[in-house]
Amino acid sequence: MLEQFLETVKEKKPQFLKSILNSQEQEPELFVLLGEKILALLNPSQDRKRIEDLVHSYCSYTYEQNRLQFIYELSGAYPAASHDEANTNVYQNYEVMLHYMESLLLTQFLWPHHLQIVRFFVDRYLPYFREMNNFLALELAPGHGLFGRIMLEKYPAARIKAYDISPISIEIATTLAKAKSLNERTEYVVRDALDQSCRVLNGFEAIIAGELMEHLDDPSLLCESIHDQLKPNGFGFLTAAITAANLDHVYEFKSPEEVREMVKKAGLAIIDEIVTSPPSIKASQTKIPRVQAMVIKKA
Amino acid sequence: MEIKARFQKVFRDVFDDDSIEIRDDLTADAVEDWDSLNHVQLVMALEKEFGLRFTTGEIIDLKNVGEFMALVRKKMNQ
Repeated sequence: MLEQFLETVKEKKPQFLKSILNSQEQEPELFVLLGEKILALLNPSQDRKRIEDLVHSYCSYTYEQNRLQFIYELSGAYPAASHDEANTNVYQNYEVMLHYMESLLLTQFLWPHHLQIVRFFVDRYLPYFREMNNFLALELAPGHGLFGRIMLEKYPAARIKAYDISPISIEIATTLAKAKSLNERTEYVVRDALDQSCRVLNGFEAIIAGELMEHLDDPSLLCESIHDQLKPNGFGFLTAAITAANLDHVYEFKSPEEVREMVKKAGLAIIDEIVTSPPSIKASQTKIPRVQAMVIKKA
Repeated sequence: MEIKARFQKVFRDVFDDDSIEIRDDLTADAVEDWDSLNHVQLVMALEKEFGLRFTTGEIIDLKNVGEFMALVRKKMNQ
């Protein structure tokens, strides 16, 4: 199916092929492994028409993202003024979320910098749990749920509790977990990730908060929540988008150092980190989109 | 200036390549550096040139430059 997907891009949307080939070249094995898994989840019946639809979805999303970035360069501001606005326009909108989650899942192997983050998660975060059995992870805003599923596949005794404000995300993540027979070890709940009423102090060996910080009005509250809920021997995985526009990005981090300061102020220590960006940056761009991923623990 | 000539001017400017010749069947694989990032720059430059705005749906299904020029003609006549 991966081959069919790439052939369709090459034939019908060649301008989107270069960065995909870049991703494949950087991480050839992971590209194929993850690509086949994701396509199998999104197209279980291996329908030819569905592949064309997925190519269409991915290319539309990539076009929209690049366009948002150029507009952000010109305007100096992210499109969403607040988390509430993003919630109304995006997270509670079925059609928008379906396209968003499907496309975002595809970018996890098709965009070189996203694939690097998955590599970081697998190689530099997951090994911390080697000696733990039967541990409980909290996944905040799982979206399509990929990171949590990767963890559960690696650790057959682990369980995940996940909160997401979007009922559509929860539906998608639940469906995909069921497809991988992981649903007995997952509990997906529609809930605000910052909801204090269900906070469990020192409750989790692992906390995953990927692609969440930049969606919040005040990401420092997320850092504090992670600090409070992480067990003293636990490890967190956190990512932040820096000068990277999206329809629902609210908080504009201007540098990796800004993120580090926020994390440390919440009483967390950064024990590993990666900062990555798309390979194709124009010389005229003043705002370089970056993703920063960190392994954190209580200081 | 007719549409084709204006397309040529924009293409040559965006790709910084005076050798680009616009033809109906021109596609991205025939132009060096026509990747997804430059694709957006190209669309935005054409929007500015013609005073138009294209939706994602209109852009993403275009098969070649000929279809793009036809789209511009259609929107200009609306």
